[in-house]
Formats: sequence, C-alpha cells, structure tokens
Amino acid sequence: MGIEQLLGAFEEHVLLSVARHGDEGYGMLVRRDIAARTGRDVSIGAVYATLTRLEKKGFVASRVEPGSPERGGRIQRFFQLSPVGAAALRTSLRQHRRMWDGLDPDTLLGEGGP
Amino acid sequence: MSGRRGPPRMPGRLLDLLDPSGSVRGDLDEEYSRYQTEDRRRLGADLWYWGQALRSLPHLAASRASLRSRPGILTTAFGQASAVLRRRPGPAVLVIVTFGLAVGVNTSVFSLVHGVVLQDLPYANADRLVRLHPDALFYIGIEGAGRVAEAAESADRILPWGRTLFTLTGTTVAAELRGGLVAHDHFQALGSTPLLGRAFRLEDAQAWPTPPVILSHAVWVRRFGEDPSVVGTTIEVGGQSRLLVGVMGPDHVPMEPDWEAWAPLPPDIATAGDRALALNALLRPEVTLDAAIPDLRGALASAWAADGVDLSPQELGEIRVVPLSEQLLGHVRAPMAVLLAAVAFVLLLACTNVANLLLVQGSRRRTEWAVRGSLGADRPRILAQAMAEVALLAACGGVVALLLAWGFRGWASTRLPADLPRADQWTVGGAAILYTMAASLVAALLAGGLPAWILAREGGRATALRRGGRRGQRRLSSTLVAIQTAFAVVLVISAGLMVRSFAAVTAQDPGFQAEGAVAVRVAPPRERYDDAQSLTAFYRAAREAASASPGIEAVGGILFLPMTPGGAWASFRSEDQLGRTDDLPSTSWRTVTPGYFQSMGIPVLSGRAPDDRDGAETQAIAAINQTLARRAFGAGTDPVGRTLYLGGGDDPEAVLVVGVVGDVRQTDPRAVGHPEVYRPISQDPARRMYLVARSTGDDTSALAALQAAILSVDDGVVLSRAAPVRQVVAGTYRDARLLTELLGLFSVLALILGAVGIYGVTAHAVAARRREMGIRLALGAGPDRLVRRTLWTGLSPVAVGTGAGLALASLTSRAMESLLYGVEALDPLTFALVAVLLAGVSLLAVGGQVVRAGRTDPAGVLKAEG
Repeated sequence: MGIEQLLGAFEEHVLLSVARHGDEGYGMLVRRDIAARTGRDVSIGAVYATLTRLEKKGFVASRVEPGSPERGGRIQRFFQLSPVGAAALRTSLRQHRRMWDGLDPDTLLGEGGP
Repeated sequence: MSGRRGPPRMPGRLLDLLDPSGSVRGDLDEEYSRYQTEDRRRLGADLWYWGQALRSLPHLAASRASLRSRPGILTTAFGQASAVLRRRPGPAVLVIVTFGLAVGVNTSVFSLVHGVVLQDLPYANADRLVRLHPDALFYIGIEGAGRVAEAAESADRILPWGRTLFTLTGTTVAAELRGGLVAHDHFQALGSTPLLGRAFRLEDAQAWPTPPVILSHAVWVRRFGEDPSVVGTTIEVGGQSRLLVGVMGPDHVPMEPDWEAWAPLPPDIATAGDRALALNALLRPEVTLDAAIPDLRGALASAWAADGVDLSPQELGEIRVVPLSEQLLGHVRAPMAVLLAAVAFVLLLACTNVANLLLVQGSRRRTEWAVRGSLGADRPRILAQAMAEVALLAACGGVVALLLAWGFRGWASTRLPADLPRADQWTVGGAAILYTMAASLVAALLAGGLPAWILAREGGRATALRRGGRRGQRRLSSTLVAIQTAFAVVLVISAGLMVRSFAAVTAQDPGFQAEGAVAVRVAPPRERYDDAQSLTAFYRAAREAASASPGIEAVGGILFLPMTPGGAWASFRSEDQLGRTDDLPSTSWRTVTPGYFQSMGIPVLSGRAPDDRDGAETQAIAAINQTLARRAFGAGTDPVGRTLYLGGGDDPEAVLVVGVVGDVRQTDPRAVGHPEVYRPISQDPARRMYLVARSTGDDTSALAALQAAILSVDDGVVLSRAAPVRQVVAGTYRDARLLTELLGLFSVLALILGAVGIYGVTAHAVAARRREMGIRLALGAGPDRLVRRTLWTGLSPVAVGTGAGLALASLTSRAMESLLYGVEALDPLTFALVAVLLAGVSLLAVGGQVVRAGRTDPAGVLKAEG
C-alpha cells in the first residue's frame, strides 16, 4: 500500500483531526472536532471503525492507557499521525490544490453566477 | 440532590459485544459524564447515549469482521468448493443424489415415526393413564366398574368405556359410525378438550336414553361441512334428537382407532342394561406404575369376587396393567423400529458410497491439491476446503431429501394401516427439517471425514504429483466397498424375509373365496325390526331381491363378516361332557342367514347349512366348523345328528348339529382356526348383519346391485362399509404390505448404491493401472490375466462384504422375528438368494471394466505416457 492510495473524505477528516491533537487524540475528541467543524453528527462507532482502518493502513499509530473513573475504568486508546499518514494528507492536499488550480470557488458556474 | 448516575447499561453491553477492549464505551461514558456536568437534562443525555451506541454497532461489527487476521478460512473454503462443484457438476450431482435419497428416506421414516409414535399422546395426563386388563379376562360391567373405582386407591379415577354404534340420520343418506360410550369425566381425565363446544358433564348421563353426543373432527367435516353453528344444536341419531355438545380436534386419539362419536355411559344398569366395559385408570400424580399395579389388580379381583368370580393367585398375576400410550401405540413400535433401522443402514451405505467416490475424485484431483499445497495451502486449509465441498453437497442433498419426504408423505398416506393412530396427522415439519439437517451433517462428516483427512495429509507432498493410484488408497476403497456390500446384504435380506412373509400371508387360504364376493353392512331400523320374525323376513326379502339382480349367484348374511372386528363367544359341551362345569372350552358364535356359505364360497363338508326350513318353532340347529367338530366330538367322527350344548351353567342351550363347514380364518389371514358355531337367524336373531353377494360380474356393479336390492325392500335401512371382500381381507395386512413395500424400496436403493460403489472402485482401479497393464501386455502377458486381475479387484471386496453381511443379517433378522409369518428369521433360501443376487449385481458392475481391461492397447497406453 502506497501513499498514492486515495483517502476517503471522512477518512481525511478523521486523519486531520488526529493530526491536530498530536499524540492526545482519541475517538470522542475526533468525533467532537468533526461535529464542531463540519456540523456532521457522526457516531463514535464510525470514528473508531475509521481509525482502526487507518491504523491498519499504517496512517495512524495507537497506544492504550488505563481509563479514568469517568470512563468506568475502561481503557483509553490514543491515536497519533504516522509519517505515512502525514504523507497521505500532504498528497491529498496537493491533489486538491492542483485540481482547484485556476478555479474560482465563487464563479464555478461561470461569470455572473449566483 | 439530583445525584450523578451512570449511563444506560443496555447499549453499553451491546457495545461490549463488538468492542471487548472497552475503549469505545469508555469514550462514550466519559462524554456522558461531561454532558451531566454541563447540567444537561438527563433524558437528553440518555437519548444521545442510546443513539450513539446504536448507530455505532454496524460500524463496529463491520470493522471487527474485516479485522480477522486470516481471510476467513471457511469463507475461502466454501467459495472455492462451490467453484469446484460448478466446474465439475457430474460427480457432484451423483453425490447430491446419493445423499438426497439416503437422507430423504431417513427424513421420511423419521417424520412418520415422529408423528405416529414418538410424539406424546395428545392428552395432558398421558403419563398418568393406564389401561386395566386389556385382555378382558372376565366381564366387567357398570356396577363392577363402580366397585373397582371404590377399591382402587392408587387411581384418581377409574374410567370405564364401551363400544357402540351411532346411526346418523336426518340427512339424505344415513350413516353408521363406530363410537364409544365413555364416563362423563372421560375427556377431563384424559386432559383432552374438544375443539368446539364442551366435554360431557355429570348431568349428561341423566339424559339417557337420549344422551348428548360428541363427534370426531372427521365426521364434523364430512357430514356438517365444518359448520361451527351445529354445535349446541340437536342432530338426529337413530331417528331421535340428540344434543351435539362438542367436536373433538383432528389430533384426538380415541380409545379405538375407528371411533368417530361419543356418548356418556348410562348412569346405572336400570337405565340401559349392562354391557361389557374396558377400564382405564388415571393414576394419582404421585403414584408410579409399579406401585399401582398390585393395587389395581386387587381392586379388579375384589370387583370380580363380588360377582362370585374368585381368581387364583396365578390368574391375579396375569392381569395386565399397561400405560395407555403402550396400549394405543405399542403394536406399531416394532415395525417402526425395523424401518428406522433399515433407513439408518441406507444412510450408512450411502455415506460409504460417497466416501469412496470422494476418494476416487480426490485421487483424480491429486495434481490440483498438490499445486494448492505447493502454493502455500496448509493442512487445515486443505482439510477445510475438502470438508466444505462435502458439506455443500450434503446441504444440497438435504434439500433433495426434504422434497423426497414431502412426496413420501403423499404416497404413504393412502397406504398406512387404518388402525394406525394419527395416521393422517403426521407432517414433514420443523422436527423433520431439524432431523434432516442433523442427518446431512452426520452424512457429511461420515462420508467426507476420511477422504478429506487423506487429502490434507497428502496434499502438501511433492510425491502427490506422481501419477497413478496408490496401493494403500485402493485398499481403503476396497474396504469401503466391502462395508457397503455388507450393509446392502443386511437390507436386502430383511426385505427378502418380509417379501417371503407377505407372500405366505397372502397365499394363506382363508377358508373362503374372497374373489367375486362383495359385502355391505346392513342396519335395519330398530323400530320396525326388533324380533326374530321381522328380521328373518327382512333378510329373506333382501336376499330374494338381490338374487334376482343380473349376475348375482348367491346371497347370504352373517353377523360378523370374517376379517372385520367383533364377535361373540359361548362355552360348549357335547352330550357326554354335560357333567363338566369347570374350564369349559369356548367357541366363536355367529348368526347366519341361508345362503351365507355359498355366497362366501365356504365348503359344506357334511350334512347341510342352515336354510329356510329352520324356523323359530322348529328344532334348534347349528352348523359347526371342522375345528369345533373335532374338539367337541373327537377327530374322525361325524357330528351330524348329534347335540351340542351351548353356554355354561346348568341350563345350556341344546342345538342339533346339522352340518359341518370348512374352517375360516376369521380375524386375519395369519389367525389359526377357532371353534365356530353358526346359528340360523330365525332361531338366533341379529339385527345388523353383513350381506354378502357372489357375482359373475365386476365388483362395482355387484355392490351397486346388492345395495339397490336391499333398499328396494326398505329404504329406511342404513348401509355402510360396502366393499369387495378381497379388499376387506387386504385391509387386515396393510401394515405388512406397507412394511414390505418400504423395505423392498430401501433394498433396491441399497443395491443401486452398492452397484455404483463397486463400479466406481473397479473403474478407478482399471484406469489407474492402465500403464501397468500396457507394459505387461507389451511384455507378452495375455489379456486373460488382466481380466482375472480386474475381476479379482472388483469381486474380492464384494465376497468379503457378502460374508460379513450374511453374518450381520443373521443377528438383525432375529430382531424382526415378531413381524414374520410363515418364514424363519434365518430362512436359508432368502440368505442364499440374496448372496446370489449380490454376486449378480457386482458382476454386472464389474463386467464393463473387465471388457475394458481386456481391450487395453499397449502401444496407445505407452504412447500416452510419453
């Protein structure tokens, strides 16, 4: 699997959120982040399933720590961007830029658009 | 204080199932507690939690499924298996058909046995019900039953019952139904509630002589078109209005299989006279059968003692007390067990067959497996795929089996013996489907286990790429063929014994000529026919009217037609035995009209049969059969003109013997001759009789002519059970016929499977040794040598298997001894014929291969070898 592999939109959001929190990112934080920034109320399960998939692809790494009393003592899994993940995000951004090159977001439907 | 509370538990538990690490639930719980500190309303937090958990489940499940370290060994195996089977459908179809047939006969027989025998009687109290003295040692009447009830301490209730007949009138065609007179609490004690209406009550017995009735489901459907409104109204029975209080459900099992209606017993002798009764008992819940037996025997003995009958300790010990289920179902257990055993053999045989086919297949596909092995498929993977192939085949076979079982249900429903309880109730339902799944699984394991293991063991080896069959495997194949042959021999012998037994039954001369005779049961209404004179006149008129019909040669009547239920008995003495009063022998007693013996084709051996000269005022006469003549007067003497005394006590009835007639097998063709006395209707009147007509035409028109003639005399007469006499006779061995047909079917199946197996193993051996044969031929060996070797390969396992099968059959056939008639369990003819048959079938199976071996072209084979 190489970095050329395309990221899905949701995967990209999750990965960006993980990147934002250094080595302190975890499922609920990512979920909250995505909800706050995009307005999408995703389920925690979807976030975890994506994180697990990204980990399998090598885009993130995780570590496990013992849980606090609020968690009922359940373990907490923290995720961190991996170099491959960082490269994937850069590639994605580059592709976006190239694709947007020469386009004006306001005039996508031509001059005098709405 | 509002107090902090944990998150809802239920969704959390669901999450734990899919995420055992707990990190997801931990995140959710943490967030939940955050919500509470932000002082949100609890309901909102709970709803949010539930929503999050439920929405997460599918994601977690999918994630978990994709996470498995190996890409599902079973998934791959089944995928590859179905691809292989699609690519090579020929062998697959053969295996599916084999599995389908074998599991199918198992499912069929299981459904039958399950529906008829294994399911509890549909009574809530089935386990507490027993039948007392089913052998009817002595007479028990209404008062006797009352005394038994008083004396029996182990029983909650004593339930007397008797047989009766109901004539349904009031609609266009009157019909006669057999039915029961039962205690008012009969149905409550059984724990059986009517489908419609109610059971009898105490006050119903007070309605005698016109007590209410309950009908069977079948009659309700047949006569009243399932009209529920008829319950609670009056119907006409024997010309009188009777209240119909209930209809039993279709699954109700009556005390006797042909009962279709019930009425309460009269409350006492004064109301309706006494009658002979059978007794059931409902044991107290805490009493065991063993504990109840002495008590019930004692109760019966005390009831008889009150009638002046004192039992010896031996007679007391002979009184049987049997569970009601045993009484009602016991007689079908032995044939059902034989059938179950037979189909188990078919399944084993089929499994051996498939195992052999798979071995041959496996060795043909050896290269494929070796390639898989060298590409990294390890032993578990090869094992999984080989087993998956068999499992798929067995599953397809299971579907075939169910279709077959549904077909069998239809086929068997017309062939089941009439006295089989619930014969029309059994279905191929949930239990049968479960059984089929289990049988298919077992078949897959039995048939697939060994070949799969061998493949897995060999798969990875480079040597497996070598061509040709392996000697060890051929030996295994031969062993399987031997086992298969043994199973086939056992099955064919059991079928052979049943065929011989059945032939013996049907070849048995019943003492009358059933062919050409037809019979109908005649019930003249009691209002017009209630004495010897009116009955004699009616039957004479009916006989004369029928005799005038074209094609009818002789007509006569009898009280109990041979091979139908019912009978009367009396003790008998000759003149010189008159002093004897103890231990009198008894004879069956039948009333006949003139013409009866001609119509049935029963020979009159000396003297004459009762005829129109015998009247109420003339000398009391009787015809007797050979057995009675011998027993009463001694062998070799002519009893004509001598006097026979009928009935015990001091005042027996003296009758003049006017003739001796041939013995007749009265109950079924297997029964031996009983003493028999025939009295003329004019002296011993009977109201309901069978009229028999012998005709030269076909049965249908003879029956129509007979019935028309009877109704021309009086159209108020009720006719029932019109049938050719040979059909009546056949009805008595329907059970033996069905068993014979089924075992015959199974053994044909066994022979086909066996032949396929023998053919398969020989064909494979010949194909595998073509190269060897080519070289031998090229080096100058004669083709006859190859032919001999091929014959040896094919036939030696058959010989071993036949020997083993004969030995095994000598054990199994003893188990079916009770079902055999007129043939020994170790009948040498059957055993020898089966051995010859097996040899013939195997020669056929081997023959083609022998020819092929003899024609081997050495040059061609060696060229192909390169």
